Amino acid sequence: MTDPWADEGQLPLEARVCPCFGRFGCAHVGEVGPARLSADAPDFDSRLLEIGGFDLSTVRARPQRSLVLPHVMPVIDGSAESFGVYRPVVIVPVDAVRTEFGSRTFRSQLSIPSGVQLIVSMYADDRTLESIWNDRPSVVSRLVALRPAAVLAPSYSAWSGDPWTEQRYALKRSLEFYRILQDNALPAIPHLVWGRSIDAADLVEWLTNNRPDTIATDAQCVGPLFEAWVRQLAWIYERLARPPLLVVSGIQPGYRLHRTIAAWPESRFVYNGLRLAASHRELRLRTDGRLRRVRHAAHASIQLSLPLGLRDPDPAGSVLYQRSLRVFERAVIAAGERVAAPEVRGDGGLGHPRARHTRVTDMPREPVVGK
Amino acid sequence: MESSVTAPPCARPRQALVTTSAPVGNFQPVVAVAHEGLVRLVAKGMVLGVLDGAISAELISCMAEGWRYTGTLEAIDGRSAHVMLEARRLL
Repeated sequence: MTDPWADEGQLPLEARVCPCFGRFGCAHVGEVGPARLSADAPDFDSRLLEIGGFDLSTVRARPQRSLVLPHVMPVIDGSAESFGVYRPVVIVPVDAVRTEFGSRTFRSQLSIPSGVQLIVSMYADDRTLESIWNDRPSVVSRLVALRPAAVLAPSYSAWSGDPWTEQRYALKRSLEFYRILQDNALPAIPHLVWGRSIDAADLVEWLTNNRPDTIATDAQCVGPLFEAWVRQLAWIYERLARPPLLVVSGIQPGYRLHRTIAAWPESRFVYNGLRLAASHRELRLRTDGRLRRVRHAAHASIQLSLPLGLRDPDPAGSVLYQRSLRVFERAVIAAGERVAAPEVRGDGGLGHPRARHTRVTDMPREPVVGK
Repeated sequence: MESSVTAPPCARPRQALVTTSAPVGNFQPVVAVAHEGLVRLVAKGMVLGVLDGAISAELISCMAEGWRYTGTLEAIDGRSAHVMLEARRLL
């Protein structure tokens, strides 16, 4: 297998660009990241002080109740598309938590049944994340009032062309936020981001020393760097004696989903098909098991005025979201079954990493000669 | 019976002697940050000194509780300085 860090020397790019290149759904701000850590900036010392420096050892995971997570957790944000879409655990973006609802509670405003557990995700655009950092006492007090099952620590952008200090700042600041959440008795999930092999190695050490049950990562903006990213993810996995559950966001169904589960079999997925549903599209499973996106021709109100003879009238966004969610859930289960299947593949690509290891070590040292 | 309220150990101010990596002025403000297992004293993006292992380990342990340390360097000569660190908790 290729060294997952083989391309590390090529990482610095000429310009700071989001590797997703503006791909649909990517909310990161490429040009003017507001959270830069530059040694010549006047706030460098105070930013470094806030996070306690670059060592990860200034954050210690504290014991908290273990989470039982389904394979897929849909994002619920209060929009029409997400209305009525429930699972035992749902993901609520931090933006929704910050919205004022007057006297109404968050749950009643979003009509979330009491049996549904909430996980708040701090995945947002860079400016929002920066404002949350600057306003963290108030955000934390809102989170405490909400009493979620857990909070996903923020996903600060780590650009592939950034200096190491900025990548490390993104990693450490997210861990620092995780500490703040736990300090306030909020069950929290640390977010993993790494720029270089030293960061991944330090994360392995931190995970080994702290042993959180659940961690998270965000692949939303991995874009064309996916192959390197997933190999590095497998590199981390293979160095952990007891890998935690990994909550993954931003993975497309299909090949990337399969590769992610192969790299980290204990993966759980956040499904955010809100924009897909809002644009009158949905996921469909083809007869050969692959996925495709179906775009509905027009909104129902337009169809009424333009009788084009379309066979598939545009359903409501929430219906499309429900359907796509079910398809995504089936895709996750199918990908998990394929990875777990004891099939020896010649390409060395897929299959449970531990199963691959077992197969290699179980091979006889001497050729077996027939009797 | 008389009771007294004492500050938690991490809240105590600290004094230490440090070897400086550059000439420092009196009362130069520094922040204490953990890097590679030791606490370094940083001013304007430059590391001016490193605390020894024992006090570094103690401060790093306190940093994991949310304590942060800022202070001033007071030059003794061109190579060494006293550092006075004050503790505060950050949210």
